Amino acid sequence: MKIPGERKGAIAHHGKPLWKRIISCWELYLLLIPGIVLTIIYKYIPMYGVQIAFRDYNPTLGFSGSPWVGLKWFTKFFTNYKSMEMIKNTLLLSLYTILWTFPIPIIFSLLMNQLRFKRFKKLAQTILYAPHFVSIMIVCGMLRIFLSPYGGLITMIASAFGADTSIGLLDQPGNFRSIYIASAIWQDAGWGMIIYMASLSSVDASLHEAAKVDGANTWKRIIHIDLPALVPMIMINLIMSFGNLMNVGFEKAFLLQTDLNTATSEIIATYVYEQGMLKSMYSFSTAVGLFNTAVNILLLIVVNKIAKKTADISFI
Amino acid sequence: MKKRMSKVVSLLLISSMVASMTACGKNNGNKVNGDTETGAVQTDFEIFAGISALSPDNAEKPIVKQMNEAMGVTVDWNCISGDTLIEKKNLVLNSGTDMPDAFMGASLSDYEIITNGSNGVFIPLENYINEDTMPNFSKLVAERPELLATCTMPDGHIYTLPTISEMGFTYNDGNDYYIGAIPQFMGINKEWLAAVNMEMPTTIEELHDVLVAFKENDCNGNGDATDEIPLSFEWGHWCADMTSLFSAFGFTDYNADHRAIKDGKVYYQASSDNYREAIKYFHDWYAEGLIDMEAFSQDDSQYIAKGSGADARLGVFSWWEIPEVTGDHADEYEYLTFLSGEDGTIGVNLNEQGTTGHDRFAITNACQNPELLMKWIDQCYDPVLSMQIIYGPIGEYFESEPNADGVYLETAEAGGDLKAKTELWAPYRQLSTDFGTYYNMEERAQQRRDDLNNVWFEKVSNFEYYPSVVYSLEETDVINENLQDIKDYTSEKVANWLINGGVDKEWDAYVAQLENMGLNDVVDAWQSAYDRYEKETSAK
Repeated sequence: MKIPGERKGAIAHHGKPLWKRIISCWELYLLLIPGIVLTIIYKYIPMYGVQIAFRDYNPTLGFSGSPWVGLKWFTKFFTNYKSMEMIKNTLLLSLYTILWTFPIPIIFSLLMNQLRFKRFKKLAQTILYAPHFVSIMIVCGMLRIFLSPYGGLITMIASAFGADTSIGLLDQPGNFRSIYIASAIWQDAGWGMIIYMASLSSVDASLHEAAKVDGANTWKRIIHIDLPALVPMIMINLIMSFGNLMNVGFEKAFLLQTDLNTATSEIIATYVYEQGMLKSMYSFSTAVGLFNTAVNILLLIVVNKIAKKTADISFI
Repeated sequence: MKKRMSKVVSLLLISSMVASMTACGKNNGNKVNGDTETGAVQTDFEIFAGISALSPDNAEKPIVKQMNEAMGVTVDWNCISGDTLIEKKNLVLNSGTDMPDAFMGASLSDYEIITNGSNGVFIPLENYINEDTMPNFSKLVAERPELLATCTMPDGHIYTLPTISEMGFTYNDGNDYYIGAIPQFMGINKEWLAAVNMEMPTTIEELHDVLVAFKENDCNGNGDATDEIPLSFEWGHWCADMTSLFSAFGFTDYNADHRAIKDGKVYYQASSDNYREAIKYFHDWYAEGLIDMEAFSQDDSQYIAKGSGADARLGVFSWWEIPEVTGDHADEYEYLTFLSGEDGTIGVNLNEQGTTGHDRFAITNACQNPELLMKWIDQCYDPVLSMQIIYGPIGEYFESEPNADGVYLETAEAGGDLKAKTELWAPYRQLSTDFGTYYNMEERAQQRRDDLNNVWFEKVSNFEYYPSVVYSLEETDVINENLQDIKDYTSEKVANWLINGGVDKEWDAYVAQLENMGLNDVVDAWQSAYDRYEKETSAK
């Protein structure tokens, strides 16, 4: 990862062979070893199993012994009547989630930064990030109760505003994404805010003082001092969330799924679970999961390129 | 530098490969050592077992302790209940390592039995089925010789032991029928009928008018005219679905695979024209607010909570009996038997009947002493032990001593959910002659049998049903590959039509899509298995 402002050639040993550079600061490499080992064991070695996406997996024959079937499972997936719908659902759910949940922690932190009363600030912060610690199972249970067509709190409020409640709110496919995203904001916006608060606290106070002397009002100072200070963090967070784009919360989508809202709630992750875990079609679900990952990598590269062009920040 | 990096990477790869290879070697080594240490005298078995959600671990059950002591066996149980059973079973079966010695009560599908049998994961059991190893089972086979055929897989091997439950009755046509022949009994609140001053409906239109009256009036008299739910059910549920009402359109659809048969010809019920008419008709009911809004999403506990709350809230509902859903209000309800259509149409497809199953016990290739394990499991086929496996132990579920006729009577605590706490999911026998000899049929089961015989069978005219056939390997493959998607598609579409309408417009596309998904191949597989079955039985 490149950090903006890093000077070219800042490292003293630049130009020497790799091993000499390693030896000269070996302590750092020693600290790196556990991380590398863990990544290799838990992230790279299991990739060996991805080959069953191209095989008809049979546990007694093992990964490499199962018969090779080429692209059979991919063909099966793409000829499935639901595949296009699932890809669309996954993409839309992820994109909308980022679109709505991404700016809110930034706005929160900018506002919170303006609060003068320390105690109130602390209290507000705690209240905002407390929901993050509620288990997703419980959040979904609460949602199901609030959205129940018989006396659910949200149902009653919605019907008072003239919403159609002749079908349960959760059972209407059109509502699924809104419910999913609104509850995600409620749960995680406060938590996401913390990292931005940290960046803001490191902004040099003299900048604000100078701006005040020049007659800048609060709004101007937010736009010209606070926001630019957050940009590197925003870009990093954005790339990270695109990295997880296609891995949108499986648990939540699965727990909020009903027979009637599958038109929008069936995403690739829930389908992989059903096919693999419940129907033990491991090869097929591996193929679908592999496709999901491939799309994700593609998106990540695109976003990385854009970020590099616009803010000179990149991961790869 | 690039070159060096690639060297580093390849070194890392090689070292990880070596590491994993040595790991494999180690495992194998252990296994070999294990073999020589325990040899042929393995008495400690590891069993993966399904249990009911309310049940304690199998190790704590008195029957299991008794069985272990009798054979000098210790069992290391891995008991799983509820929704995670299927998931865990799949993982254990497919991981290829740490295989238990046996699977018990793990609801193995035919597909799993066949594939794992041909893979060599499940071992053939037929060599152990003899007087010496399995005295009790041999006795059972002598009484029911056809039992072995029901658990023999198409490759000629027996990988799983059968269960038999002959809980049924002889109808006046001289044939025996299974207690599950009609799984969905509709109940109607007769006090509500009296409150709205209407007669018991006999046609679907009459029921419609009754439901409208239920909806408009405060039938339960609690001052709130909106809490009455005219018709409730659980969509796609084996006993709580509403398909008994479809009789007015000439059919009922009890089978989860929507499989039906007429004059020896198998077809998919959910693509028939009658089905379309029924869905179209019942959509109007939904639009009028006669159907529970939660019918497509509720589970058993929500459903029962509605039926058994302080005020009666259900007008018409479906379940395998009345009291379980309605609780204290049970007296207010009466059966609503099959209704006819306006033109007098009435038709019922009986549920597929089976007295036998074969998903309760399989031994894997990890077991080194299958003979002892088979001796151990054979005890389950002793009639008195079977009784305790199905219900619960003597001294808890049954009285400690049998009565003068040698019949064990149920204790006062029996019934309710005690069975779910004390039963053991293991193979068992329950022959029609066991009732009255060793124990009596549960009261609820007797009641249900009599209701079927006296009330529900009255309007049945077609007694044809799809028998328990054995599929060939190819047929299993075709069915396993296509059927689940087909059923999911049907379920999704039909629920959508019932709620939002539009069945006429989308029907042709739906049928075309089903064919596209391989429906014809699946029906052909059903048909060929049936034809083979017919040929075999008529030959005998």
